[in-house]
Amino acid sequence: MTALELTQPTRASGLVRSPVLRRLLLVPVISFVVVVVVFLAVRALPGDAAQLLTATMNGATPQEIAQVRHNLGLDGSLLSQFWTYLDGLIHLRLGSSFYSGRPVADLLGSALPATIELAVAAALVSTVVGVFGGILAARHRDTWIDTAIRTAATVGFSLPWFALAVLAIVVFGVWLEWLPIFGRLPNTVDYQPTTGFVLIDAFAQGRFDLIGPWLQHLALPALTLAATSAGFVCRITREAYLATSEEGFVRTARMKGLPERGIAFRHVLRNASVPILTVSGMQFGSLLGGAVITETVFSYPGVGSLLVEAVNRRDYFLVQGAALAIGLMFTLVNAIVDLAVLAIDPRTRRAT
Amino acid sequence: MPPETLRISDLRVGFGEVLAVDGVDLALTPGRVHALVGESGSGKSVTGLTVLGLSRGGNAHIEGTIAYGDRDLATLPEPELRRLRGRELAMVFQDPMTSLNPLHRVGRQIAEMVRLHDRVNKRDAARRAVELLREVEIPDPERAARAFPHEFSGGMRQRVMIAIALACRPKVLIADEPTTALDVTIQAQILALVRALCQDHDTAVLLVTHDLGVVAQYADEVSVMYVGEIVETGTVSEVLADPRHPYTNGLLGAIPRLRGKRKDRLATIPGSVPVLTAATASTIGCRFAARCAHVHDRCDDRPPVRDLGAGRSVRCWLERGEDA
Repeated sequence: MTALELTQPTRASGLVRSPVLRRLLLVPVISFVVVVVVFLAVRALPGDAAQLLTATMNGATPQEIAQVRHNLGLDGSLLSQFWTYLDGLIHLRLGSSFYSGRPVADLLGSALPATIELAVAAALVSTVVGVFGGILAARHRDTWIDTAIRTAATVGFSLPWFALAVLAIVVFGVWLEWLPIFGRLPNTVDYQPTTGFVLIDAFAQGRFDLIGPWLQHLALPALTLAATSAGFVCRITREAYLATSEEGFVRTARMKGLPERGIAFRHVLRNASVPILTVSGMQFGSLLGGAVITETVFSYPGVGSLLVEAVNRRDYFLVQGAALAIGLMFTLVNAIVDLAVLAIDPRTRRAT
Repeated sequence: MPPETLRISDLRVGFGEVLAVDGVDLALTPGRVHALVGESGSGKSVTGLTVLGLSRGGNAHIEGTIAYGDRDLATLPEPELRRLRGRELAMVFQDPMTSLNPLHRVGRQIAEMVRLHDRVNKRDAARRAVELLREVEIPDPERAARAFPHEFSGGMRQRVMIAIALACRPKVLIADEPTTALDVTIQAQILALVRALCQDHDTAVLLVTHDLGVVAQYADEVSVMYVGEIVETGTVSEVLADPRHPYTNGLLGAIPRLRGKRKDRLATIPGSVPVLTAATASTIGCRFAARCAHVHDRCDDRPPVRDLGAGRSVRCWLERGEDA
């Protein structure tokens, strides 16, 4: 009797059976696409790097321009350029900044930890605030609490970053003078990076005096950045929580005699966490976009500031490197989110 | 008659303006299956949910009594009712595809029920879950306990749901259209299983269904429900052989038959189930009058429930012999 048998999981049709491995293998594939897109986008920018670079020299001859172009590896076909570019990437040679002459890899090496700190802090704050706010709103559905939270969430994600950043600077930095509005650490602090992450270095070097000023400097940009995401996560959490509360298995849990708290945590939240996680992951992308703006407003020395400066100065290889760094960060975070979803939901682990 | 496990008297359940249940009386006895039959929207599911207090909250208002032992489940405070839920009152729902948590292993979902009510450790609860899976005739129960709901067919999931519901040997089981979402061969297996298990454990069953064929095969008593009220009650053999209410008659006439003389067309009851609000409930007399072939002047007044003896009763003005 076939109906009595446990349905057999369908056999994997692809080469890789483990869904986790399959998702991990996607990372290099997507990364390659990111590399190609960044390469092409930068080539599509108006203006020729060699011309821009030689424009500062007085009366560069066509021969000199050609020489520069050759030195930059920009004279070959698109394919050979791409090949040179890939070869450089593998050896972490991303070219040098036109402006400072420093290698792009070094510049990114010091800016990336700052941006990761900012993005992680903002993602943490927005997820915690958003999820708690969403649950609170859902549990007090259609009361003044719900209305207040939903209004705050809508305001949060409707305000553009630059407006919020300027507002934060004026209120907390200038009027109240509570928090610093500039940079990552005060100039008076002597900080020699080991890993580039202040928090990790503080522990590694035993420099616990760094943590206080670091947090103060991080607070305003991180909160500015978190506001939009928090509003978004809050609304998604509320909807997911309410939708899951209507599910049959929640009624089953109630039928079992479980107390409401147990139902909320073991049954509702766990199921609602899948859409919440997915949205938070995608939200990280716009968070990185916001970081570009926020870092610039707060003169925070991250990849975003670097990118804006580079674009302003037509710093060709720096634009390419910074865009690549942001793209790859997003790819990585989404891979982590997808793995988390795989861990939570067994249906996604089905081999197809 | 054996002692009653549960008696519902004059139950009324409304949601805002809409009156879903309006005057339901029925009794459940240990080890016997009482079918509650009616069309969609007649209030039979709400009646079942109300026994467990699952229709509470929101804009619901509940009146009447649900006598269970010396307690009244209609007014019992939520914390006390919660302690009875699962342990003494259990329910199997209509759609087995959604009534199990997709993220938890099947064994854990059964063990959750066991651990909630019986003081046992995790290992014993897990062992008990496997026993229960064996009891509901799931093959390879050890492996099944480690599987997730999506690895099962609909029929198997409903067996799991039955295992959960019967885990603590409840006194009352509400089966709310447990086989409506399943195909017919599976339907027979599931209903036979519910019946056998409940007879073994002296569980009183309220089988909510719209299928008189199911009633005929698996129920001992039947109550026919129409727009929130029960129009006819009695033992299955008597009600099906000799229906006294025109609505019961209509339902029986609307069953397609494979054997015997074939009529030109399948008989239907004209019209559809109206929605009853508190305002209209007090003004209309017999609720079936609008669709009844035997309607006459008296039907403007609400017919009383007439006791015909031996547990049979009917809510209609019609006397024996009057019906055509």
